[in-house]
Amino acid sequence: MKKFLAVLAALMICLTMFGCSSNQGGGSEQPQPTGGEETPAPAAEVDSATFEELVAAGVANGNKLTVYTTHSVVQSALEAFMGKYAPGIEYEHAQIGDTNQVTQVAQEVKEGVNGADIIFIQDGARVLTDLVDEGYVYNWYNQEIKDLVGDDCEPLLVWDYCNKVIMYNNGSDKTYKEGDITNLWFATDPANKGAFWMKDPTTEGVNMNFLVNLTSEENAAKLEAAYKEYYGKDIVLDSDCPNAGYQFIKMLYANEMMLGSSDSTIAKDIAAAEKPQSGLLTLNKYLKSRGDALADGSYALLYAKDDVKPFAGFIYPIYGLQVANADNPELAKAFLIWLYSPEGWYGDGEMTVADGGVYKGMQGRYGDYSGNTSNPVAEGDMSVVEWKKILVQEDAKQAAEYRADVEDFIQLIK
Amino acid sequence: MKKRWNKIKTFFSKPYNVLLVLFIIVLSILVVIPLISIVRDTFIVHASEKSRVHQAVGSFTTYHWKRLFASEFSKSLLWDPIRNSIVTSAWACVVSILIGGSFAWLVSRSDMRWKKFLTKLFIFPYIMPSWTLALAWKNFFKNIEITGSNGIFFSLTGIQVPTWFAYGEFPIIIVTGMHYAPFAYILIGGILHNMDANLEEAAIILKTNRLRMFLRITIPIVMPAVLSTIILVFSGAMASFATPQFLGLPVRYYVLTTELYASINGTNPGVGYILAMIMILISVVIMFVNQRMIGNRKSYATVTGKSANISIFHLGLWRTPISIVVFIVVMCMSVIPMITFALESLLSYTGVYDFNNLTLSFWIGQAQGHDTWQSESGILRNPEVYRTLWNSLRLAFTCSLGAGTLGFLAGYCIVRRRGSFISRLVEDLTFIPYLIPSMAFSAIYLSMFATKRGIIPSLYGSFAILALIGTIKYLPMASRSGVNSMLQLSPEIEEAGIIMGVPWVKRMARIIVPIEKTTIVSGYLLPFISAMRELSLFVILVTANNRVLTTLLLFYDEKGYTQFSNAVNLLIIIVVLIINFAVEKLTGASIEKGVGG
Repeated sequence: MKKFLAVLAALMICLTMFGCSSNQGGGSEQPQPTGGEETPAPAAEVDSATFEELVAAGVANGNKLTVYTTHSVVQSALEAFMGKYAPGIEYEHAQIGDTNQVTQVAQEVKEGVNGADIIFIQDGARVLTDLVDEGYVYNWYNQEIKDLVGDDCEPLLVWDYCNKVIMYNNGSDKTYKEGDITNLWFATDPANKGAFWMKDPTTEGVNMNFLVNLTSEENAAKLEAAYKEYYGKDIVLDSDCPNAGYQFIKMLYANEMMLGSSDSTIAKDIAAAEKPQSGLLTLNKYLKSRGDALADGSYALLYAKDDVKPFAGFIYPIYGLQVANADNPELAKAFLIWLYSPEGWYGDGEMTVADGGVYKGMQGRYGDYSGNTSNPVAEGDMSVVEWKKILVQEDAKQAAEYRADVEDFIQLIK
Repeated sequence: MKKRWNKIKTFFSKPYNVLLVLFIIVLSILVVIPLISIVRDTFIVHASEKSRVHQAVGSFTTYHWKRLFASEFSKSLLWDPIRNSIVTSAWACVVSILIGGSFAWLVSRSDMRWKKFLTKLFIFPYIMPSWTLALAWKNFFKNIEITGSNGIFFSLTGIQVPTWFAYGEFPIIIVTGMHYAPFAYILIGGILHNMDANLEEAAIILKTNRLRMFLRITIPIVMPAVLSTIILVFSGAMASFATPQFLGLPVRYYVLTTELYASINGTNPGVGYILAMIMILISVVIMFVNQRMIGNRKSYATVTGKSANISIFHLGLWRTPISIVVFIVVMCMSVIPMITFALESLLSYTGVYDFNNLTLSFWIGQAQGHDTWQSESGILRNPEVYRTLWNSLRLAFTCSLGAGTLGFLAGYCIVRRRGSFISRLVEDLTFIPYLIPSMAFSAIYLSMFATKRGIIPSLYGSFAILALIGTIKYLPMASRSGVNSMLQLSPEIEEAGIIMGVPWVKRMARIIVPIEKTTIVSGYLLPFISAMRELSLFVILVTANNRVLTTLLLFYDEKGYTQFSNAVNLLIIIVVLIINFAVEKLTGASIEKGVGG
């Protein structure tokens, strides 16, 4: 065995050298996607193809339409869309988390494997660096979309906004009361040690992007002012913290921020807790937990709105992006345009999904806001414009540029 | 020249030589080259690393090595996880040997009650997916200090356990130790059961007291099995991912696997690949230490000198109390977790343990809409569950067929050419996958087979890549079982067939397979069950197209669909138990024989 391992080790070293040197000359690891160089120049010339033309072209193309999505509603939307506009054309959808989707799409396009035609994905930083920069997916919109979505067409086209806001329990005398939380720095207060939750940022990109975005000059300045308001004194930065954003992250971790593996589980735990507990969670969990409260009266969650300084949480997009080696790019684009329509967002009361039920789209869903701001939000929820005023908005470019720095920073303090 | 040609001809006229050569070729492609590929991955820039390395994707870099070994990150990325992995794995060995060894002794050497019943249940933790005990622990000991709410234990007793008991190092050690306790029981029990009673009788005649007998006779005899258990448990615990993820994450306690997972899924996979290599290295070191200590690792649980008259220790007055304690421990390890899964899957609202809160909706109900926790149909109405169940079954069947057959054939040719270089080489090659932690192995296969290589097309997202990695990963178990069974078979039996001119295929089919039937089936059963409950080996390789039950469970868990994940968990356990017992009833094969050889 010893001899064998010695031979094996020698072999490995030789082949490693070979493997690496071959790469220096631009070897096979350099992705050569089919669509990489064909990526349309952003905003240079907006595609003039209309929805009707694209549907007709997609049906004439006849190839299967495959959709990957992080959002479950896209699946039923595809079923409704295909039933109405492209009956007879084969389609497939899969719900895949952002990290796995990045890996899967990159591999499939790199290897020319037939995978998705269009993807709906969050975590703008990874999407930019791993998929767009490499040419595996590209940002596309036509004039119809541009007219509806405006600035949110670039650098990545926003299909849907989701928000994660501070949610806290309100079930009994032992929990928070409405309005107790007025400043984001409460999460760093020793009085709330180990009582603030977040899905682990190292496993959920949008959470990491939020922390990265907090370190931007603009957000750090807001945090600095809020610190003074909360603690009643000027912030003193530690030597390893370039600004108040870093200082906030450091104090958050030092205050034993709790890390969970799912927003739903955290929401249930917070709602059932018998002491003050809070977390940064998708707003959709509020409605689900409201159902729990109605059932036995002991559960309750509230969420922060404009009463929290400087931010009540963050808002991040789910982007709709075209895959470079799509089989039916025309139908993929038509589907994307349709999703911005009122019919695509809420259904028309007649379109059906695969199991025969009526397509309801985002009806009754808190925490989902169309890139087309004229589409209505669920009753009782605020509009995306209002939310954007009180939340940190994901800046994919800034996150892509500084994510490694913030990840390294967290690695040292976690 | 002609002489050499004749030599070659003679060499290849023996089927076992042909098999050995084939094994070397195939295992080089499937085991050795992937190992090389991972080394290469530690020296290149991956797409997600561009912004930190500031070089072109695919170009040469030493960034990952410097970052891991010579930077301010070394402590948190490397030394802390290594320390945590070693501590939890070493203590898990102690726990599993204490629980499994004591149980083995009580079953084989004492007059404890309900032995048959208890031994059946004792194997359950091994059959169940590794994270089930971790989930059960979490459900049971949830702590208000951490989650804000208390678990079932508090509801029953009013006692609130401290945080260190609910999360982090301590529960990881206990849960991993309990998961591997069946290993210790099978290996140590095999020796105790077959131990030559004359040794103890001689001691009794010489009026040696019980303690001295235990220390001077029993312990030295079971020592090889204990050391074998240490290897198996230590390697298994080092590779364990789900348990530290569930019990360590809330208190930010990282081990090598969880750090590896975070690195590979994050923006520095290069560091993840180095961590994978370190894990392999640690396994190799442990194996060498073991070889040094017991001389030869091949002596796993095989012992000669079987005595028909093993002396039984009478527990006397302690018989019933000890039996009850063992009964409670075994129930806590096997039945209670399943009850908690069933219960959790039936709750309308999690955390409310009230009869009025029970529902079958998460099993057979229809989807309830976005504003409820049941946004999908119950698992028995959900076509996705059936699709993934079918995928799991055919994958487990394929891996079992592949690993079981290759393992048996490897065992056959290794034993037939025992002592030769080629035999040792194949034996070592078949054992290497055991040393590679599952997650590291799948990371290697991802980088290796996601790309078209020569005549091998890209296997990314295919059923084939799962079947391939499963077969190779479980080959060590199957080949160990094959070697052990073939060692027990005298070569004269086959030689009689050769003299009679019986061809090789017929000799195998008519002589060897029938004699070794039970052990061979056990060799198939172990990979089957391992594949059915495997998560960390498949989690990186599975795509939406080839999802299996365990990854569906993880998907539900990550989504926070507690009832669904508990229901799927229970479904996996039920399927595995049914198949295990069906095979056992039909063929007499069992997990115990698969592990113990």
